[in-house]
Amino acid sequence: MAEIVLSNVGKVYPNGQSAVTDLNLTIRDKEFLVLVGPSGCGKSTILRMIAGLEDISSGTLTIGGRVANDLEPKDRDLAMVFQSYALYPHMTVAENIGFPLRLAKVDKGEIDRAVREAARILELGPYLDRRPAQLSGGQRQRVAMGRAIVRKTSVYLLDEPLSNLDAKLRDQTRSEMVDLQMRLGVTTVYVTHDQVEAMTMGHRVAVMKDGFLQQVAEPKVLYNKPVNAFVAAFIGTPAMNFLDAEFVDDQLVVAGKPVTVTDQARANLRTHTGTSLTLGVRPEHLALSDSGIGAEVSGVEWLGSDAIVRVRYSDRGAQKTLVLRCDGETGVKRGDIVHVHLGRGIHVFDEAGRRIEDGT
Amino acid sequence: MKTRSTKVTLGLYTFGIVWGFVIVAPVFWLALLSLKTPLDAFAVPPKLFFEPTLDAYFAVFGDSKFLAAIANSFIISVGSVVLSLLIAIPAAYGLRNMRGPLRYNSMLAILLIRMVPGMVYLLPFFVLYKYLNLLDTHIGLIIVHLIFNVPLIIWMLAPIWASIPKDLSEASRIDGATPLQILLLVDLPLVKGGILASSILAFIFSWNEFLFALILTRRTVVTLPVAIVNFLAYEGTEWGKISAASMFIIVPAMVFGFLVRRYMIAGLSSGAIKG
Repeated sequence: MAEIVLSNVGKVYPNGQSAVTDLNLTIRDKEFLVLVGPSGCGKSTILRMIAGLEDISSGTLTIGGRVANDLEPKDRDLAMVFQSYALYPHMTVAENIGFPLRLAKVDKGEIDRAVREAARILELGPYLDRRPAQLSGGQRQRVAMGRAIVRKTSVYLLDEPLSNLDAKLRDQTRSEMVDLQMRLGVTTVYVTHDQVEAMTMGHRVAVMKDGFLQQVAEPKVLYNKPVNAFVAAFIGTPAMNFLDAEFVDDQLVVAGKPVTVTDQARANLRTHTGTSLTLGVRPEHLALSDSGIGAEVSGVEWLGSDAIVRVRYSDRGAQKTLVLRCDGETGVKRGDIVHVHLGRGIHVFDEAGRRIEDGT
Repeated sequence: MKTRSTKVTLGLYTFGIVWGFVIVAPVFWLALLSLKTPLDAFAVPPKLFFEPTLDAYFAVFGDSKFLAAIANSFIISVGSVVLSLLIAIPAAYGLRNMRGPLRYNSMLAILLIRMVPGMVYLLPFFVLYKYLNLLDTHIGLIIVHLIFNVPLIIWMLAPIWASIPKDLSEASRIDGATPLQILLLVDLPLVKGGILASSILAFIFSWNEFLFALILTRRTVVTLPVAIVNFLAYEGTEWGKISAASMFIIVPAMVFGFLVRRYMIAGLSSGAIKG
């Protein structure tokens, strides 16, 4: 049982800079929670506060029901994997993995057994006598994991553990780590700036911006119901399209054309009559059709099963771009004049960027 | 990088070789001198070929005063290195965790201590030692040498230490290490090359140091450089003994330097490379 609860947690650095503000977040037992956000959003600071490497300026941190604000890192029953892996260069793989146990004064035979077990899980058996410098990036990453799992702690903290791997290895390691976390059933907090990692790995994903938690939800909810324009823009590739919109004469109007919305949305939109709104729509929810916004194709990226089509349209004299995800069989070429239909998957955000509920 | 032209390369090599001769020539002269008989030593023109003799060496090592000087030099050099390390290692470890002006000013203060000419320290130490009865003692000279060796070691270790990623000590904190364990199990093994290199430089400094050894000792704790001067005696200068003894002083420094030259280079250029 290792639930991590952050209540009203804040971090202000001695120079007055605020890194995390009033954070309320519960990481459930055995959960894989991903903290994601652009660099400088405070995600690593949160991880380091949980680890005990940074002081908590305000609020309470409990780990497994115990207030942990003032506990030493080693007393928090957690293991951490660093972005740089932080392997001890002068120790062999076996010594690296066994180091936490050696510090805990576990007897030699027991350490040896535990190291072999961890090496078996991570397929590091043949490398136990090597030093970190003699290993590939992926192997180093696994050694860092080994040092974490050998301790049998109830919490893992992972700080961008895959960012130093090449793309192919990253995909493979990603699924291995998810699998490992499932098997070991350890509460895991994973920090990344990569939203693909966040969406594919996390049971839940917490999106951070400028030290504030924006939304914490399952990946599907995050994708389909982003609470604000920031989350909507951050999650998903290619990114969501944003168009200027307004609500006039009981209709949502975009680029001079009315857009169909649900009755619930219409009711909610009435209070925003006359204000400038933003309409968000994901590339796969835009369609090429006979009617809709007139536009010119400015580029096509063919990806096989589907194609990314970029089009330019003009809205009140300004040139804007839209990105569509079309079927791979689409025949449009650069320079074609097309019409883009807005209908499905519409998100409307108010002036402050907050989502206006549409009742779906 | 642009490749150097042949002319420049040739020039650099020529300069290197000439400069090498300039440095090696006196040592070579000394080595020859130590193997000559007193008569050959003063031959004009100097003889390059002669019948070598080890008489001077036998004379020097038969001299009980000289043997005592070897022991004194060894005790003082080793003592000074050990004591310097005991002070400098924790100091460099502390400096690692400092940032900004505090670190800068501390490092500067330490450097200034080393930069002051030895003469400045001489008189106060002489007076002080007279009262403390530390004149002509091993520990007295060891303490004086700390003035020079501690800053040297700190300045060599600090950049090496700074190049160890901070993640390592953080990882070991989470792994359950105490600060002392981090120092002993993680940091020290990683800076051992620097410790070795700086220890040797400190050893060589103490081994060669002349000014304080001359003024602060009398008869009991005479060190090698001072013992050599004593060969300039009333009955005439014993060039053979002086050169043989000088060779004996040079050789350990050269052997040490040769054995650990890999670490020396790593240590001396440690500011430039990242561990």
